[in-house]
Formats: sequence, structure tokens, C-alpha cells
Amino acid sequence: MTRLLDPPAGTHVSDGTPADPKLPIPCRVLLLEDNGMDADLVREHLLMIDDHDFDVQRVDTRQSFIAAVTNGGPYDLILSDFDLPDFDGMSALAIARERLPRVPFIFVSGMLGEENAIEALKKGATDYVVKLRMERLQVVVRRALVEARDRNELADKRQALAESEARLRFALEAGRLGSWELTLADNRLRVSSICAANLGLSDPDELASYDRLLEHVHPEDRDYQQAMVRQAVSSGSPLDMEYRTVWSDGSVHWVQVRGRAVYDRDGTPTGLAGVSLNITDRKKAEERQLLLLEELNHRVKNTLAMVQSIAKQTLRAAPSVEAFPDAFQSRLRALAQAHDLLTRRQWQGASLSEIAALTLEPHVHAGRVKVGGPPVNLTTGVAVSLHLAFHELATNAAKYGALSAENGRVELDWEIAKPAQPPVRAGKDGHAGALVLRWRESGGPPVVMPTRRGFGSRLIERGLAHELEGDVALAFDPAGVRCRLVIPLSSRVSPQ
Amino acid sequence: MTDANISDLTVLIVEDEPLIAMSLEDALLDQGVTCLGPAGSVAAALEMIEAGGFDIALLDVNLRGERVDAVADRLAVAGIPFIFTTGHGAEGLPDAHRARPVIGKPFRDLDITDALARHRPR
Repeated sequence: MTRLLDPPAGTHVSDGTPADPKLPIPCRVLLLEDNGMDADLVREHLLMIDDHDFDVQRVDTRQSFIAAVTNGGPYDLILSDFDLPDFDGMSALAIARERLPRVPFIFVSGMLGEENAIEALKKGATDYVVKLRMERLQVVVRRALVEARDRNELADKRQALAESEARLRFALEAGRLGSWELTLADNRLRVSSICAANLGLSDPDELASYDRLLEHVHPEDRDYQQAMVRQAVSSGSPLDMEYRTVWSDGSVHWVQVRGRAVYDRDGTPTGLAGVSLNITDRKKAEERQLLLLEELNHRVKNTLAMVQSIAKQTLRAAPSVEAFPDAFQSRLRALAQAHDLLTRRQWQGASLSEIAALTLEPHVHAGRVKVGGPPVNLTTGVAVSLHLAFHELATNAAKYGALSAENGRVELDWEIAKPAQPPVRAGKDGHAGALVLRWRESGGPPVVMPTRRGFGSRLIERGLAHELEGDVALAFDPAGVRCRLVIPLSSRVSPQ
Repeated sequence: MTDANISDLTVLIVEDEPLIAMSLEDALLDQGVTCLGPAGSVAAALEMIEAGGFDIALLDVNLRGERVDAVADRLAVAGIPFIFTTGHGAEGLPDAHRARPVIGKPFRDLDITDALARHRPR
């Protein structure tokens, strides 16, 4: 065993069982005796006791006695004279009882009247021996030592039990575990305060019976709870159940209960005992996880449907089969970029400048595109749609428009327009004002009106206009493509 | 293949994702179907039901995070047939309308036109 701390002085206790019966039991004796001859006599008599190896420390003053019981030892026995020049036996007894209550204390005295003897025994002396009958000392000491060992052993066991209980209670409290015990004969229940707290109760007495416990179980879980308890009693298998409890404020909480049947000597079940734990947080986390999984499933399916739609429409608009892969992959990558950004924002939306930068950042760096406008928050759906629209405009500009020529430029800017400023009208859901967003190309080759509307035009003119419930004007002006979006402000499109 | 001719139908599309709405439109326009919408919110859908002028509706179960129960209720009261489109599976359907036809996302064009032919008003 690893000793981390020395045992405190004065509490030494022999363990009562000699390791080897042939070895003498060491025994330290504190002898309070002012007369050297008497002290020798006591030593001699002690040596006659078998199986013990006595180590006698003699003191003869009050001061040395107090020092010994305070700092000396540990002692197995105290022998004391009754009358001393500066001290008396009864005071020594009182000090010893206070400091070393477990150590047997025996008076060895020249004369000790009956009254003194009775008084001494009352005050806690173990026994007494008069010097005229010193041969009694062997018997008295031997008995006192045996009794002390037994007594100390019992006290040790009690203390160990108390410490073990304290440790158990500490562990239960540290783990927020409630404990409970059910007696089957009368359905009496005993619960700890944590166990009561798990059911929203401050007083454990409110759960004094199984029926009263059931009152606090969620009505939908009562049958299950009773069935589980019955099964644990009848089958002897461990009880492990989770049920809901309704607190007095109406709130619902989850409890996990584990336990096991208790049997008498005939094997008849007499009760159940176990622990309870509030698992509301865990249950909530599980529910959240389930919701997240459902949401993920929905999102994946929706994304697949979007990819399918992009594929179909890209194929429709592709001038040739050869042109399809590049156009499709480019759109797919744009969709993936939007997802990356939204994931970084925990799918809580994005700002308009972030979305604009996603597509246009390389061109801005090259000095070809200017982007500017006040801060605007977008929800995820609007962010994805606008990003795909910017991607279409930028791709078109790079292929045929301003970004295909050396000196071409693009300006993307936006502002918040007040509802009073025509032609802006108030948003449908009552929010005043609108986001007015302009894309203007210049310096590119002369723009030719496309013979048919491609995917990009459709996405912007039909999809975006519908989704944002706004007005969209896409113009193939010979001087440069222009696009103007007027989007009513709402919870989905809001200035910061 | 769709046997029944659905080119005489006018269909209301209730769908909040523009790309998916466009894809639905393409599938229907190819069959000569007239499309209304798309309505991308519960409020917009209710407005379009109020205005009427369609035979059957395709109904996404969730519009911008809002459940579509109110729209389904209104269509049911008006006696207009509708088909759910969903990425959620049957458990996401409004409780009162679990018996309605459902098309899972992503879908084939054929799934849409077949369902319209099967559930169109007679």
C-alpha cells in the first residue's frame, strides 16, 4: 500500500491480529511514576506477560506526561501512579481520556481507597492494581490489551464503514445520482434528495410511496414504468428504464432509473434499490441530433433536385453536347462554393458583399470589377439564388461581355431605397423599402441580343424574380449588359 | 410513358427553390401543360388559390422553413386535387393529408406527368 500521509500521532491502533503468532506483540507503555523502584517493579511484572514485547517510557511530572500524550507514542497502554509530587492520577486520567481516548489507562498505586477506585473507573480508568498485589498486573494488563484491541477493531470497522458511506454519498452527489429503495411489502419508498430533485421535488418525503412516485411520472409513461418495475421484481434482471416526469410547473423532464431486486434469505424478493439520473439534457441533445439528421436528409435531397434541374436545363440550353460538361461543371462548382460559404456561416445566411465576392473576387483583384453597397443580410435560400445569378452574369461577361475584352469593366452596386422613392413600393410583408441592385458592364464588345434565352437569363428573370418577389430587368444593351434587381426588404433581405 | 393527355391542364406550382420550380415548369411545358406560379411561400400560395384558375397543384411540403399545411387545407376545402413533392419522405406530410399522393425529390419528369394524369380531376 502506498502511504501518502503519516498516520496522525496518538491514533495508533494495533490491528489486533499478530502477523505471526510466534512473534511477540509490540506494546508501548507510558508509565507515569515518580518512584524509580516502583517503576522497575512494574517493568519486571510486565516482562512476565507472555507474547508481548513491552517498551516502557517513564515520565514523572505533569509536563512530561502532557508532552508524551500529546506528541509521544503511539501508546498501547498507560500505567499511572495515583499520587505524585506535582501531579495527581485523576488529572492525568482526565488528560489521557481527552487526548488518547482509545488507550487503556490503568492505575498502579500504593494505596487506593474504594471511593477513589470507583471514582477512577467512573471517569474512564480501565482498571487498577495496588502495589501490594502487583502480581495482578499481568492479568489486568493482558485483559485490558485484549479488550482494547477488540474495541479498537470494532471502532475501526465503524469508522471505515462511515468513511465508505461518506465516499459513496460524495460519489453519488458528484455524479448527480439520486438513490432510492423500494420495499415491496408496503410499497414504501425511500429516496435521496437528488432523487427527489430529479422529479422536481425539494422534499424526499413527498416520494414516500411508490404510488406517490407514479403521480409524478408522465401519464403516457406510467404503464411502461410499472411494467418495467414488475419485470425487474419477477425476473430478477436489472432494472434500466428511461421515463418522463412532469414537474409541478408543468415542464417535462427525463429520468433514467437503474436498479436491482433485493431478496431475503429464501430468495423471495423484498424490494428494489437503485439510482436515478436526470437525463433531460441528453434527451434534448438526442432530439436535436434527430432533427439535424432529418434536416440533412432534406437538404441533400433538395440539393440533388437542384443538381438535377441544373443538369436538365444546362443540357437544354447547350449549343452542343460537347459544350455541356464545362457549363454543367462550372454551375455545379458555383453551387458548391455557396454551400461552403453557408457552412462557414453555420447556415445562418450570409451578407450580400460576401456573396458578391464569392464570384467576383478574382475580377475585383484584377481591377476589372467594382463592387460596393451598404451591408445587407441574406437568408440561405436568397444567398444561393443570388450567388448563382452572379455566377451566370460573370460567366456571360467573361465569355461574351465586358470581361472578354481588355478594357471592359463591370460595376456591381446596390443601395437601400426608401418606399417613398418611386418606383419602389413597400414590400408585401409590410417592410418598407427595397434593395436596388445594379450590374453594369462597359468597354466590352458590342452586345448582341441572344436569339434564345439561356439558363442564366431564365434563372435571373424567372427564378430570381419569383423567389425574391421583386422586379428584375435584364437588358442586352449594345454598350453592355445591364441588370437591375429591385427586391422588397423582408426578413430574408434586410439591411444590417 | 404518360398515356393520358394532360395538355388541357393548368397546374399551380408551389415550390420555394427556383431551380426546382424551373425544372418542373420545363417538364410540364413539354407536355403542353399550362403552369401557374411558382408560389414560393405559404402566403403567395394562398393568394394564388384565392385567384383560382387551375385544375391541380404540385405542393412542396416546406416553403422557406414554413410548413405547407394551411395551403393543403385550403386546396382540400376547395376540392382541388394536389400532389405533394418532398425531400422528407412521407413522415414530413401534414397529418390531415397523409393519404395524398407524394413524389419524392429528386424526381423524374415522368413521375410528375404520370401523377398528374392519375390524379387530375375527371
